Amino acid sequence: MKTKKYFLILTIILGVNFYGNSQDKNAVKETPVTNSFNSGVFMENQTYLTNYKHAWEFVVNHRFGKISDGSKMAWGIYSPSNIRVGVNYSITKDIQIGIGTTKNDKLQDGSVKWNFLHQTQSGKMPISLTYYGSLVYDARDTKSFAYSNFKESHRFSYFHELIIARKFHDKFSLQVAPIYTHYNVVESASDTMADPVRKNDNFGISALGRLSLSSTLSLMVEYDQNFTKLVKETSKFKNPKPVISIGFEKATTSEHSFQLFLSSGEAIAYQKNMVYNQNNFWNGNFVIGFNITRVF
Amino acid sequence: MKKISCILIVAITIFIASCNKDTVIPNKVVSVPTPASVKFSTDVYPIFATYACTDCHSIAGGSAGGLNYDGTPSATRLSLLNDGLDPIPAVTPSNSANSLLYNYFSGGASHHGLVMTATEITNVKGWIDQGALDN
Repeated sequence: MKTKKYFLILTIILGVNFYGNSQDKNAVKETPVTNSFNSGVFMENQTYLTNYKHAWEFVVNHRFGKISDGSKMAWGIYSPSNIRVGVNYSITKDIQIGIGTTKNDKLQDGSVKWNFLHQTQSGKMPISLTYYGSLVYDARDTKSFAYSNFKESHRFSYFHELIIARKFHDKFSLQVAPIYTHYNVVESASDTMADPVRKNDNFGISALGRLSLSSTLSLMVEYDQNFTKLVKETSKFKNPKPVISIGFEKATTSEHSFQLFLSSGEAIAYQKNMVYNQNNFWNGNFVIGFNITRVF
Repeated sequence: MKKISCILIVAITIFIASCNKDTVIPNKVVSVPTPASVKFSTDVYPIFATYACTDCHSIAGGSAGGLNYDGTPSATRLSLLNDGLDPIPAVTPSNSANSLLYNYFSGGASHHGLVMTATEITNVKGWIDQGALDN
């Protein structure tokens, strides 16, 4: 059943790609829209963008502690922080692979991004479509998995999204992405037996928008919602909260971007934010974060 | 293009092959009796080095939370008594329920996913409830 599901997703992706290619052969060459977003990274998610062929991209994601930690912790700046360092490489102008490492839980990630449909300036193709997938390996010491049926495969988790993006105006772009996440192992509600507290598979959606305020400064807003509820809520396990982020991006060239924002997500790893986020943005449970990207 | 196809096929295979659905089966809860007298210097202080807490909670690590575990046992104890996150102190003598140190490591709150042994948790609780003495 699971294999069928993967083949179905693959068929849809490839089908759309072949459709796009056959269109290209018979039509006048269309010019894709540019500058929908400044970077392939967007606060707590990805944009549909990939870099030019053979480009190397260096990415730093940093999240301070929670603002609600108070004045003693300088509103999170003195609190334990989370950081990820990553590198992306563009095999072609449309296909990008990447690796990264995150401090919390020692998460090691690998990703694939495939921009297989481009919005055109003529409007003949109204949207851009990109697949983004990431595999995360939890590299903590085995003693951190203190339960009896631990297997190495339990260290893996997965994140897939189909990014649908559209540039509506020179200053405004919007993006929506259905998301599927999978964790190989979930917690038990019981202290003595396997009693799954959540589902291994989770479905959600991400919506984000960018508004240019000047030639180099943009306002960014993002909302990521997990639709899959817990099997059972307990005093220890609660349904995941949406990740809400708002901030600004300064990008003086298309090769460099600096994003400064407030976000209720602090995990950096996308699947962990979707499935495990417990921070309620409206209760002040958010962190100051920044992303830096540099293309070489 | 062939190379790209190969890379994608390998990537998809890894995605599918390593995918499974499991639920944690917890270890049987082991009840560890609290020793009559827990010593900070021998029963609690070494835990901070075992779990690399000093990576962040030390002068070299930036004194996260205002906590330093890299001094002598006495200095570390004072750091625990005087700091922590608002409004819960790291350690409230004789009150483990109101001590962030115990709450974090007993599973009440997550702290980088660390999981201590039952003996270590019992020792931390015992030391706090016995007055968090400098012993």
